[in-house]
Amino acid sequence: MKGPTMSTPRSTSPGTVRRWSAAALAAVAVTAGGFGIQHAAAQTSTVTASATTTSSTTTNSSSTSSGLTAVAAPASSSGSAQSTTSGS
Amino acid sequence: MDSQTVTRPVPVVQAEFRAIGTTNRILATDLTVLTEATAIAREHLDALDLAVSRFRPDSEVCRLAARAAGGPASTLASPTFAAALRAALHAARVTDGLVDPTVGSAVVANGYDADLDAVRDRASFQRTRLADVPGWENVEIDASDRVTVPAGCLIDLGATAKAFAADTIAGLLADRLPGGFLVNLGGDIAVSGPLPAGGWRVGVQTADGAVAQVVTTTGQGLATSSTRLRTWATDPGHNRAHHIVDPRTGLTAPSTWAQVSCAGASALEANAASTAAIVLGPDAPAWLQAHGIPARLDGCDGEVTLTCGWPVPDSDASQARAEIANALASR
Repeated sequence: MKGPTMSTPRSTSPGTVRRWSAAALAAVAVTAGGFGIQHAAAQTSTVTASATTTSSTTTNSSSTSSGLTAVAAPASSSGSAQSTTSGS
Repeated sequence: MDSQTVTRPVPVVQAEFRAIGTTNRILATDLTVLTEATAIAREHLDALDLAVSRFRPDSEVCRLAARAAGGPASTLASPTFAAALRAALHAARVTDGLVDPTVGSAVVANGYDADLDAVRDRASFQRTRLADVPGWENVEIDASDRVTVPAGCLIDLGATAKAFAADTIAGLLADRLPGGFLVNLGGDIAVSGPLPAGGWRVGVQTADGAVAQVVTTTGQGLATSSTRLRTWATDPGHNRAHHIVDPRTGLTAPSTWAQVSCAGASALEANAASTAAIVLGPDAPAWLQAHGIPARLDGCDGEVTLTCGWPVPDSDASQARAEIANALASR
């Protein structure tokens, strides 16, 4: 199976803007066994529970000249979403 | 017997409720505090609604706007209004005015002049006027929380109030209750307290309800701004407007992006960045990159742009698979 394609710029260093076509992202999801493209389950109750474990971590950050705070990127996850961010 | 560290599963529980015109969710790592956590969140959102809603005439925002109709006006703000306004002015400052709380009259002129359900039910909306954006620099709030606005100013905290409330509630919960929390107010996400192992898993949800990607936050705020969800018809069966206004023009921002998701030091900063990105349109990736904001920008053409290390799902594994496939194909 053909892997994902990446348009310019081609560098994959953390500081670059990367553009991926929808087809490439879909290919990634398929080759990864499906995760990455998941459908949200309908919420049918007001209280749900799942199993996880607890730990304590911190996020490094630094102020930029504008006052916005540069932060570490979130990590990719292979698990199911516990919550979702959307534009509503 | 050997001593071993055993990682025991801890339940994550969730409560969901409607408030401030959206769906809100509180996730907690301690079942016993969920009810109290939800009550704290509801109480804060009730106070927020009374302070800053554009859709209830008894809100502080509406009463101030009514007084400003005839000239500059001032009022002594409640602590909730004062804090939300200061947060909005912070967002304006760090985005160089791309996110401006004085766009209220322009938002109304563009058609978002009532509760969203009522706006959506219209067959069409024809713009009849262009409203001024007085500018966030002309809003003053002093040390005693007295707010002064210029003539004709309608404060609209729609871009930042939810996100700031998520940060505020997350802080309140961490101060008052044990365990870890994820506060999700209509997609604006803040976390506090101990994290679940690996962090909180958050899906980036598109307008059709699909989760396009799952990422984990280990303290970052997350927010998404969309041009596809809060929309209404501007002529029957054809064009649609969305709710994000470009303060530089007073007009609906371009629909270059279907949605933009950002990580920030807080939900407020994440939301400020995602809203600014919508306003900037094609210039957004460079701006986000320059400000160190990890972001995922979903173009209306289906192309996805990532900045500052926002992860591609399983990119390393897929690259390895592609290399193996290429090697096999070349044999």
